[in-house]
Amino acid sequence: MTKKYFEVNNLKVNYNTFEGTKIVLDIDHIGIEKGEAYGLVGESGAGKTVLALTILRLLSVPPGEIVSGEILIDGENLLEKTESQMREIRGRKIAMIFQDPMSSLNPVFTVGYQMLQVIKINQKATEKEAVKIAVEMIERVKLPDAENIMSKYPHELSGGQRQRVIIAMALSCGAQFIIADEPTRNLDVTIQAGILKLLKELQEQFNVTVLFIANNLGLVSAVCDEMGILYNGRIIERGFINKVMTNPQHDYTKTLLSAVTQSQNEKKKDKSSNSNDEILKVSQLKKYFPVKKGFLDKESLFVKAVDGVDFGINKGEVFGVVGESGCGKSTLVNTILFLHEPTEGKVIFDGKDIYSLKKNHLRKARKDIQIVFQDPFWSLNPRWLVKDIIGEPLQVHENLSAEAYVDRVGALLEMVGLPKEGAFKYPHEFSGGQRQRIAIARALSVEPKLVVLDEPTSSIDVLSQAQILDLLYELKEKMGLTYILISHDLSVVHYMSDKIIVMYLGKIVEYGKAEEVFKDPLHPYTVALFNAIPDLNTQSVKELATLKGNVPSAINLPQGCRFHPRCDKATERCKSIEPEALYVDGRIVACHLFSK
Amino acid sequence: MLTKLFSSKLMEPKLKEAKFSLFLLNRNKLTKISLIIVLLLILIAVISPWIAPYPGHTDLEVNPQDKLLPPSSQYFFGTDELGRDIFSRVIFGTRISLNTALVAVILSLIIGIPLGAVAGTIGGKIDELIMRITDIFLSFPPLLLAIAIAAVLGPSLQNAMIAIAISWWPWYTRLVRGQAISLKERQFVKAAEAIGTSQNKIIFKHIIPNCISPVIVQASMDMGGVILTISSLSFLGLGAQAPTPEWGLMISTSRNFFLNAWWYSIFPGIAIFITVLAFNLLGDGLREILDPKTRKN
Amino acid sequence: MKKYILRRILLGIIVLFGVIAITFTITRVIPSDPAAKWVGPRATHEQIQEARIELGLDQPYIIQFGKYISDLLHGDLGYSLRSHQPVATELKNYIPATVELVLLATLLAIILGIPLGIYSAKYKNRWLDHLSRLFSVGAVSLPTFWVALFLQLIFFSKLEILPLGGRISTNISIMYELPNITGMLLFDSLVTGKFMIFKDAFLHMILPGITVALYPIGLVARMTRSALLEILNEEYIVASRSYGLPEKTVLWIYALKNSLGPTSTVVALSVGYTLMNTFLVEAIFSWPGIGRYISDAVIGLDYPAIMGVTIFSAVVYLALNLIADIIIALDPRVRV
Repeated sequence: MTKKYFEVNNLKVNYNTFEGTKIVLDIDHIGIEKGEAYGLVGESGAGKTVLALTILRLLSVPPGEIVSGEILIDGENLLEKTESQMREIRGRKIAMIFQDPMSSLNPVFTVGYQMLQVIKINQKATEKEAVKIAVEMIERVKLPDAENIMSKYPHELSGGQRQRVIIAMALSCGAQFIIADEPTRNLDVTIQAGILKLLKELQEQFNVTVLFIANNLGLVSAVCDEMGILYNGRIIERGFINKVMTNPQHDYTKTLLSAVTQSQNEKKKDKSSNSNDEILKVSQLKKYFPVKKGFLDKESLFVKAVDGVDFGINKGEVFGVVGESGCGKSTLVNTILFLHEPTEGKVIFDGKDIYSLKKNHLRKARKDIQIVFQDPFWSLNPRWLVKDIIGEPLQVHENLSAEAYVDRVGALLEMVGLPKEGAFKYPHEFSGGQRQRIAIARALSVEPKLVVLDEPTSSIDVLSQAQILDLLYELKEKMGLTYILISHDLSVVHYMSDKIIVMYLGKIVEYGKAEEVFKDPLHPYTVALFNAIPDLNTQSVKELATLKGNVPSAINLPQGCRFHPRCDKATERCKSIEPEALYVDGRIVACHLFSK
Repeated sequence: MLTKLFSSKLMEPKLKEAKFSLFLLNRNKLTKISLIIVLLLILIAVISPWIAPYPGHTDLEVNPQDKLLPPSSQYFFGTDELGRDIFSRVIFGTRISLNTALVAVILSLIIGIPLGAVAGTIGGKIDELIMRITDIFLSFPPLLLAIAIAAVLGPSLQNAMIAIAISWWPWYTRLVRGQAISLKERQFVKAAEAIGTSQNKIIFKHIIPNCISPVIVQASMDMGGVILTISSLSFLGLGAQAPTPEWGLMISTSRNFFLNAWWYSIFPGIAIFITVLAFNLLGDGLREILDPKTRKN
Repeated sequence: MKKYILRRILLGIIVLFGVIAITFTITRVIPSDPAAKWVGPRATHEQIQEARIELGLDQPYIIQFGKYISDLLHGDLGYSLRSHQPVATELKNYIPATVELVLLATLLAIILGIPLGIYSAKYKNRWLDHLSRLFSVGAVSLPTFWVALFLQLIFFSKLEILPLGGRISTNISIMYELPNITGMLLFDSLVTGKFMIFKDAFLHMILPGITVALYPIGLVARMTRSALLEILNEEYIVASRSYGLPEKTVLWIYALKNSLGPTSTVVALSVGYTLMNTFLVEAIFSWPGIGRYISDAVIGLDYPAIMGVTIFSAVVYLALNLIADIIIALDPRVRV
């Protein structure tokens, strides 16, 4: 059998913890031909990052321990190299693109300084040559104004720019093999598409070999030729993308696939449960945060996080809120919940104007609106027992005897599908999905009318995601709840929602029935957003939509339409006049393209 | 009923945590040794009246015919200028130092923790006010504060303790404030707010319990520093007064004889050193053991 | 940046005002009559009354405080109750000796403590680390006054190679005219080329210098180690290793600059501690610094002198913190 360019054979890596030795990697084989892209899919904890660090020999030992196996690149076994030999290989042969562009650049040095250091070491270049190479690399990753970028500190760049700089750095080492460890995990979808395109282009142009690590099948299918699925440190399925996608063998692969295809088999929505009673009415809601310029400056600027938002939610509906980070969706919800003081506007909940309520009435109203947070690891106080966590709203709002209290908590746990005994455990003894169930039980303990779901599935594993969504749906039907669902995962929103709003920089750009908006998005931003996400039908990253530029700062908003600097269809009018909300085919779109 | 049923379960997670801590402790030999020393010192402090060969020598009793004798089998650490057994006095000093330091640290915690939690959680003007007051107290050298208090209230061990507490609490306020600021962004605090939990309850039930680990680490390290400060104050005559067998005071008196009675100053000094060292090492080790980063791996 | 510094200075002044107000109040409640101190033990009742009016003690508290502040703004700290000399002049004579000691200790803390911490972090859990940790934790656990006595016992009374105390031998100070530029003898004698004086002053400096320096060296080494270890775990350090950067660049350029903030805070803190320790050490080594000055002032209940020293140390403390904050603000992330 001929050797491939990169091979991992029989690699076993252990972690020595106090509970004994844990096998974290047990990979029989990975082989990548030169110039190919190989996708490795797995969830957090599957051992993806351990593999990347093991290849570079940067795994901390102990607690890690490489037990056996070989990692071959160009026929050379990396596991037999000495530390100084490895230093020659790192950068020059293999480079890594890390998950979090925020923390993988040193914050106290300029981007240029860091690039030059790397170039000087790896290419043995003089200062002058290094500058030339750096500029060339920055241009190659399609960042404008290379010299300006080089003089910036990492925090002065946006997430997308930073990730491009990191790619430029990896390229500038002259590496032929790049490990990309979830390179788009913390980026917005429209930025993600750009990075994926760039990676693919570089791979094709320079014949670079790529090991692409991801937690999402859609990404891998768009970028890679072959793939492997990593589960608990083992590769349980491998092959060409098409083969795995169309004919998965392992149950786990099937689950992963169904998670991505969820939006296709959209939930049959039972319209009967929706009434026409409006439970929440938001009108002209604004929330500005003052930015202090300085101690002695009186005049201050504002971040216009939410800038004039109107919508209404009927009883029994699921109302989806969609948008990228910084669009104001979280601020919107926090302001509706009165966790933030509103700058302007009105919120009528259940016939009452929330902002004019007196303190004790407000507490009663709070009982009727509950929230389920994104991250079940931080939404539960780690020092409390589950019974106290679930019971916290009960203690605030109801006066129960000790016995009735424990009974209620037990019943709530059973309602969300957990055993009663869980009441006397601490949160860390539960898995992510179970913790989210606890958070749901807490929210529902006081029988609220409206529940805000803030990214309810984005921090839990794929296997539990679908179950949580189904549980939420079932509870909604049973208890007659109304949901506001915030998610950056469009398939989740598509699956659950009746109506959605799409937000961009504090404003609603599109508002309408979920099926209609997803089927036929009207606003150019909505179109770009929907097309930026690779799914299984995406054959190549070239099909993905990207937006030019960055999201402008919410302090210095663009004149006219906020989206116009990034919009392909922008006209002169868009630059000067802010578009009104227009009714188009039963929905609302804020765009001049649709004004007659 | 139900509670009883699950009471064994209630202990389970705590047991696991404790086991893990024990494992980390075992791995860290220096910490283990220091913990043993600290426990031993506490034991000595508790049973000192029974193990000191001459308990009377720690009070008003004098023994002039045996003055300034070098260490022997009768007087392990020798005798002082009044013929008192230095060994007995050093043993009793353990009790005095640990007791005073503990009270001073607890006093500082009582002042410092709530102020820090309130400042960090509420923020704004209240935070600004509390932090400025903290700054004022931090800019007093503890020694000067002790001097001032001794001048007003008269020098005594108790007043030295008060002086130390007054100059020490701002450190805890700063520490807890920093913790509170990061904790209040945590979703469980947001969740509590959304539920309608009162601010008091948020501060005392959510914020403070979650800042405890770093506070314990800091406090155990401070025990060493406080013991040093107490002995320094006593050395200057601003703390314990004769005939209290306080280590610093003993060294201070020994200065008049130190050229011909080396044992007089050496042993109380070693006692201070060992005690402070044990607490410092324990603090270092605890920091490592309670650090969430170490715990994760 | 300028605005940030201005804001910090302004806050510092507010804090200083608070310190002065509290100290002033304390000195007023001390059960002792400054007027009686002023005129001495044999004065008559009338003389004391006169002194009270002369010192303005008959005025209401607020007016006295206002007068103190306005005098302070003109650099007037009042008159010592014992010597009847201006406190400001007296401080000027005593401060250089203390500053000399503190500077030496701080210098040693920086040039010994920081490298010790770095090597300790680099060779974590190896013998060098264990040794350096044992040294540094030992250094912060030693009672300063005891170390001073111990050193005197060995080097003065047993080995007889170093002097017991003082800044300079009596015969030298009689034979030569002492240079006075900064008031710091070592520096002044070196600059003026008076090597006899330099040598003598240096010998006098050794024991108090070591005594005072132990604590800051240990403190700085410990803190540098832990700050560096934390940084070495950051992802950007792993990233720079993955680009093939040599370990010495990673450690001495990358990680060290990242740890500049915490390290400078610790150095500032350690100067504060050192200042406090010199108060103790000066008493033992008969070092004519402000530590001696305040000990005498306390015994004599000389409240203007006590206030003078308090204000001086508060100013030093606040200035150090300001410098540390400015160094932290140089970090581009918090740049203002």
